[in-house]
Amino acid sequence: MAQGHDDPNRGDARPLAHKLGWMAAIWLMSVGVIGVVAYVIRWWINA
Amino acid sequence: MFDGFDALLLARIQFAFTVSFHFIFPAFSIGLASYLAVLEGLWLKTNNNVYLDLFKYWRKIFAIAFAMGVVSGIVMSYQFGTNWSVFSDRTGPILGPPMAYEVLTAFFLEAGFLGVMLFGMDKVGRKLHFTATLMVAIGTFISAFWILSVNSWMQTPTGYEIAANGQFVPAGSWLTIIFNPSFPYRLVHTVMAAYLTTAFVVGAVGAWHLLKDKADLRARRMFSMAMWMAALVAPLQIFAGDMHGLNTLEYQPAKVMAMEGHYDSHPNGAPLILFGIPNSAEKRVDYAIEIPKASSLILKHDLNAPLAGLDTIPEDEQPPVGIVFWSFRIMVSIGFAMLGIGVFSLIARARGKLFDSTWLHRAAIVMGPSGFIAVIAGWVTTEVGRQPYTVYGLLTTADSVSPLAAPAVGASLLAFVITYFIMFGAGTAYILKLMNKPATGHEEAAASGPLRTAGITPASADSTRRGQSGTMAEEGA
Repeated sequence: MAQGHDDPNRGDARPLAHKLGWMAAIWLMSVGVIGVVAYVIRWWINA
Repeated sequence: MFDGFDALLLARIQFAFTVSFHFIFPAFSIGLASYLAVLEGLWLKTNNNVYLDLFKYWRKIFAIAFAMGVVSGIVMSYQFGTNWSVFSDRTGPILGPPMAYEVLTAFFLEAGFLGVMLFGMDKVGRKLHFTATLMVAIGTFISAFWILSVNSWMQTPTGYEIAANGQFVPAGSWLTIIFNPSFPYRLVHTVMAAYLTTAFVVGAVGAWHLLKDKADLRARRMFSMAMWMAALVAPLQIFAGDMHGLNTLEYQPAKVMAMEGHYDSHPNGAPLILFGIPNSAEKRVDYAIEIPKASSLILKHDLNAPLAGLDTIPEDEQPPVGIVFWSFRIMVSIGFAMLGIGVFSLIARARGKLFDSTWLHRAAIVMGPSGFIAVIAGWVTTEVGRQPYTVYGLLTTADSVSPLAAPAVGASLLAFVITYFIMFGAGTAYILKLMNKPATGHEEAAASGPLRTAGITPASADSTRRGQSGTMAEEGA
């Protein structure tokens, strides 16, 4: 992982609303990716 | 190819194989998630970048272990449908909801916040990132909570009634089902086992790098933390295991009889058989090395307390003694070896030799994988000890299996064996490769990053490390 990607100072410098927005966005993307995988497996089993 | 085999035996081998593989990863990730939370919490509290460096080092390893745990876990759920459909149908109304809660937890806490933990440091800031790490750690614990509740209900079923169609259905409060008699003991014993497993892996990695460079600050810190865990948690785990054993004696006495190798009842105090070779044909333990009356002392706290043996259990309700007897001894031996390492580390620490004792470091490396062996041995003890039942005393394993032909089960078993060894072999090899690299500081990483064409020239790695990460004297504290 690149250092810039992991720099906590960059995160701290953002406004709270941006931080919360990023938190929600990454969380949703993570859950969404697994949701898609689960849906594909379900579709494959039922096919 | 599998025509001569029994479908039931193949289904059992398949589940045993896949669950043994699977259990390795959560046993590691449950402890590692908490370790990551501790590391990040300490970094936030102390501002010591050694903790941040260690956090980043172990986070990558956690992500791989977590992914392999998820993948191998999905296979387990499918087997409920493919190989154990009768079991699933009969127990679904009881076991379905807690397993669904486990999936929801894994989805929305572990996997969701794992994304933030891996990719969000520069997006959400320190405190929200720490919150995400805590959510992942709490998520792994809650997952373990539900899965162990399900398993414990299979061992000590309560709060159910059997409907006209043969299904187990809830009767009364769900709390009676969730908090069934063996659950609190199994939860504590298994979660502590996961913490110890992780501690010994972390300790082995720290020791490995200390053997190469005794001045490695990050190796010192991870080794010191792991040895504290070994010294403090190993005795607690032995105590918890003893309590779990007493609970098992109360609810599943046949399992304890098999663990102890007690084919015969002992009306005047039962011996503790340390080692021996169970001979189920002759109903005795050959070449037994035993301590007279010690088993009664441990299990009943009375030297002369009578203990029933397997001669009081009908033949067709007895678990296989050999496997349970040996797996139990492997688990207990490793537990005491872990305690030994903990004591060894305390002595070395008291003498100021924690980071210099080559023998301690070598021993810690040897003990690195011991937690995995112990958790699998413990799992074998409790699962094989429950035989011949899936739901103890109520539903036999033979009555739980799907009406499948042996070749169908055998083919999928073969596919699992090949796939698992390739996939998880590659994953494990990659984890070992990562562990072989020392945990580098962010300043070393920056030094190997993009060239700076303007701005302040970074200080040398040595001077930065001393300034930001504490001195060698502090590390020894």
